Amino acid sequence: MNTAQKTNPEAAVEIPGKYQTVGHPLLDDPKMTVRSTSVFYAEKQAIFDVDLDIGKNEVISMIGPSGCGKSTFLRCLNRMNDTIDICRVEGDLRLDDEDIYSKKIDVVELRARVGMVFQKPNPFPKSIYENVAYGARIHGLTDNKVQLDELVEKSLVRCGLWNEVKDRLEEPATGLSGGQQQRLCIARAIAVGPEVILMDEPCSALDPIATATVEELIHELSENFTIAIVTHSMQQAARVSQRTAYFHLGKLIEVNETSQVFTNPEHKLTEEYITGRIG
Amino acid sequence: MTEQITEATPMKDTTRSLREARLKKRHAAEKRFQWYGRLSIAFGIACVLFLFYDIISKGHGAFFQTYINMEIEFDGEKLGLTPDSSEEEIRAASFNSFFKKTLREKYPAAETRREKSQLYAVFTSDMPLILRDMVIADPSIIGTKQTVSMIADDDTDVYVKHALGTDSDISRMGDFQRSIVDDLHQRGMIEKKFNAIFFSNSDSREPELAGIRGAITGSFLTLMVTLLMSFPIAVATAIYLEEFAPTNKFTDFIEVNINNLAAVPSVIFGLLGLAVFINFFGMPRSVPMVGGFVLTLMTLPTIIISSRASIKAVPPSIREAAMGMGASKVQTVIHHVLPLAMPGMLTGTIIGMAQALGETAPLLMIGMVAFIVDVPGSVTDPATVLPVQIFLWSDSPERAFVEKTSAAIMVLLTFLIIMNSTAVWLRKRLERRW
Amino acid sequence: MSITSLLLVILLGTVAAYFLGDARSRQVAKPIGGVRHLAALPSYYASMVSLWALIPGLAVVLFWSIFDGPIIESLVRGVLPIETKNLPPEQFGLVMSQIHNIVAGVGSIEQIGLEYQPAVQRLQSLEKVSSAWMPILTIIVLVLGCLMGLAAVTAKRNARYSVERIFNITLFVCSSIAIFTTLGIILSVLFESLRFFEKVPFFDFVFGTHWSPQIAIRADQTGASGSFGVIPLIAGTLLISFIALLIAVPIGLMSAIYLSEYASTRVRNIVKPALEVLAGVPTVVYGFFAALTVAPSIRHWGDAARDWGAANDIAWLAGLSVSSESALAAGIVMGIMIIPFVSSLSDDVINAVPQSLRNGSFGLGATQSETIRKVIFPAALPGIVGGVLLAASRAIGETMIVVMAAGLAANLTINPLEAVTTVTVQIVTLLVGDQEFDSAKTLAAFALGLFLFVITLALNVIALRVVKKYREQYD
Repeated sequence: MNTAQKTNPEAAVEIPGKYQTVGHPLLDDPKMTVRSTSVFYAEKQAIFDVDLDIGKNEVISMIGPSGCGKSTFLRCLNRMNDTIDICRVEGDLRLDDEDIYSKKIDVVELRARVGMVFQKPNPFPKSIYENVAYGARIHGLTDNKVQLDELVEKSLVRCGLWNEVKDRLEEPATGLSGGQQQRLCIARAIAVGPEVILMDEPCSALDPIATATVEELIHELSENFTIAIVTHSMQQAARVSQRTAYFHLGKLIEVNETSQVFTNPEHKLTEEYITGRIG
Repeated sequence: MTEQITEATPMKDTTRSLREARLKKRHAAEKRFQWYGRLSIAFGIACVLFLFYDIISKGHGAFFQTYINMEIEFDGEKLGLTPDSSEEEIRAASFNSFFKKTLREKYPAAETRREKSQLYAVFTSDMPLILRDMVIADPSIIGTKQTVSMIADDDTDVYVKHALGTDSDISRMGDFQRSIVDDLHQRGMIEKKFNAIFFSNSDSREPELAGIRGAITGSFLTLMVTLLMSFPIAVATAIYLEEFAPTNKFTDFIEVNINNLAAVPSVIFGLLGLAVFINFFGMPRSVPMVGGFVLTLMTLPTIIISSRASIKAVPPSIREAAMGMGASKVQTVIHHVLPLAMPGMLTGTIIGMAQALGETAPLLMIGMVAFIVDVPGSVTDPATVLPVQIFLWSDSPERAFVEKTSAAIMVLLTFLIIMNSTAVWLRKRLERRW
Repeated sequence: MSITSLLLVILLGTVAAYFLGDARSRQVAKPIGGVRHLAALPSYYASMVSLWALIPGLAVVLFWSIFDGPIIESLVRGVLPIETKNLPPEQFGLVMSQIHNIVAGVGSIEQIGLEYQPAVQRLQSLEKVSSAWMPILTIIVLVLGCLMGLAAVTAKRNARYSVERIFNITLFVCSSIAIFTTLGIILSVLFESLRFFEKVPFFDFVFGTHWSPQIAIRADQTGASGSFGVIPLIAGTLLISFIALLIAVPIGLMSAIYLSEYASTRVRNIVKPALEVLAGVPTVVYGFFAALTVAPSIRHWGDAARDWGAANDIAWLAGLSVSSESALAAGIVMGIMIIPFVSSLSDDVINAVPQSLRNGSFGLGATQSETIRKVIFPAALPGIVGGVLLAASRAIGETMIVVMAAGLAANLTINPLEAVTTVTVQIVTLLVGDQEFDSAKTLAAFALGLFLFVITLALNVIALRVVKKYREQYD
């Protein structure tokens, strides 16, 4: 079907042209839809013509070797790529059937609806409380201190951090451990009331125990939020996600139920990646 | 968790409407903030433009000087000279009375003492000497009529440039003098020519005779001393600190000293120069050598800091490659590190020199403010420098000196722009990116 | 023979020694089978020989020029009449300089008295001896050094070690100049200040509210208490610096923020150098600008405002009076001068804030200005404070603008429309022109210098430490 099926996987990028993603990239009643999307850094193309749906309240994970464009793809979903001057996004991306790249869309509001958690925990150099309250303050979500306290507490509780930090809310967030910092960043994101949360390798900077806590949290959050997670760890994808998308050199190769991707991959490249022959 | 699920969905909807209610206000704040930034930049740029506009509009006139083309008969009888007169005889002759007499003959209307002195004041007070020098240069003009391009006095010059044909009273001239200048103008004898005097003369009490040659020479000599002293010392220090210095308290101490010296006010260096070079070592005042020493100490930190940065930018792999071939540390530095770091060091040096060229305060302390008419010939002759000349002129009451000051500033800024653009060019062209 | 030509001779000698050394090393190498059997390259032997010649030669010139003055002086002193020797130092110095003048051919012996004849003759002969022997001795030492160097050229001796050691020592000596400069500054201002405080009590200086050094000179009194009170100068300095910072900090900071966070690369590449131009303009030009353009306009507007106030019966406006050398003019222009300073320092610290914090904030749906005001600015605050302190230190130490535009009147006021004077203005005023070096007036300049040095040093040390701490936070 496409060039990628040749024995030499590197040839996939050498020959441009339309290719077909195998598996089930499209869904009924999706939360977000992505059609014919390409991303360029100046002249260099980083994402090739991707079609993908993200379902309501599902956890979808993006895997693939480094430099395959999975992070770039994630950053398109809340227009974080706007902050990079040379980056250009083409295609049709929708959230609840609204074109998120249209002029009418307010990028500020979009990012409140599609929150993001980054690879390295990046708490602001402020107190724990202020970190969580920050989003609520800028978006004007609360009218008074009591409501704000309540929102901060609720967000921290949902991230399972409340019991650990309730006595030291005024201490600098940078004093927390890595795992706590990352959960704080998640709490910070959900305090704004997002519908989708994007997570860019949220556990790559964490130790195994902290990783387990964060994964547990992702699992719990998936009941209320749509979550798209980029990970370099196949085991993690297998643990937390319902669907898995495999990217290879800027192309979306395969999308399927997570269990199927890991047990019975349809595409040769996916199989080679899963079995560790490329990576 | 279950109780939270039930409240999660309504919470999302309310937060969304809350967020949207504030969006307009937030975007307005964003716009406002960007405008503060734009206005700040606009203010900064406006300052640059206005500063240059102000200086140029005040100073461009000084590049032209008013001359009065007048036919003068070098009457041998009046002068008591013949074309065969020797130089001593010419020097002894009274050109002063000859000049005044000639003027009186041309303007017999000048009767009172006051009117006469106003008549003489149309021209620069050095005019008799200039005529004498003409005769010395060519004694054969005695007895002939010559059209002499005579230098106008500064008041005449200001009047011709700014007030001719208007009623404004910006010149300090008397009415009679004014009428003479008007008459000269009507007869087409007034001419504005490129002001070569400004570049060929040194300081003078007479604005029309004052020039910047002495100051430029002084600046040049001072900068040469500064360059010859500061460049080797700074490069040596940078090499030592980057390549040889052991990590110990003493090295730290040197570094702390350099960083602090970079921020010591320049006037303090003047005090140092006065106390150490002049009072302790007994060096002469007002000379470019001492000025150069003081500016050396002042610019050293700048050059050291940029030289260190460019040494640091040379990748360690180059050093390792050289050492791996059995080169000694000194050989590695001299053969490899130094040539690669040189463009950066030169850039830093030029910037340091530009800083030194514009510096005034420390030179005031060591007496480079004297009124010096001669062009300095060596680093031990009394001299002044361009910025100090600007300072001295800006203090002078004559209106014509405002023009001269601005013109001197234009010359100084031209030098600085050349030096700084050379530095930028050098950095762009020669500095390697690793 | 002048010092310059002697130095030229030494230089020539050094070059000659280099070639001799080179030739000698090749000569040594020949019987043992060529240059490769030497312990070092011929160029190292050559450098070694030339250093053997250069260093002693230079040392002789240096020591001779430092010590011949004092030695001759003390020898001449020996033949002076006893009553001259007992004169107070100032008058003794006068006599000595007259003797020097006569030897130099200025004036005649009759003017100062025949009793100085032996001293004049002594000085004359000593100077002759000195000027004749210095070059001779130098050249002898140079040649001897060269010969010893040549003798040291042997196949076994590794000349590279000696040359590199000298190279290292030279580098070390050069780096020590920074320390000697600091030391020189401290010692010179400290000693003169101590002498000043012998004449004027320390507390009168520090807490005095009246500054008029001229009075002390005219009344010829030592320690005219009350005339050297530094408070009005400090007040004036702070007033002008405050006005300058009031202009430079917001504008510099906002420019830096706009340029680093909003502006496109193209705009940044044009605007940044344009603003840097302000940093390259010499201070004397700013002084001229302040004195001849800004101050008159402020005065003009002030007068216009007063007239308008008088016409409309606004009492406080009608009473407005603007000095022709107002603190405002100097402050505004100084502010303009330090805009690029503040903006480049802020630019550095803003860029040091990690991108991840910006991403974190954007990811939550913050606008750019919210991100800047609530995340970047607080994070960069220590660095910005450090930058402002450095800017303040620069404003306090700035000289030419205030000398030309701020005036000399030591008013103790906070009204920016009045004339004030500053520490630097007084240093310059007290020292420009011919002054006796021992008068309280001249020494006061050094006391002010000490004060200025301590203040700016303290500001710098604090600022550098704050900035460094801040950098470490994000490294």
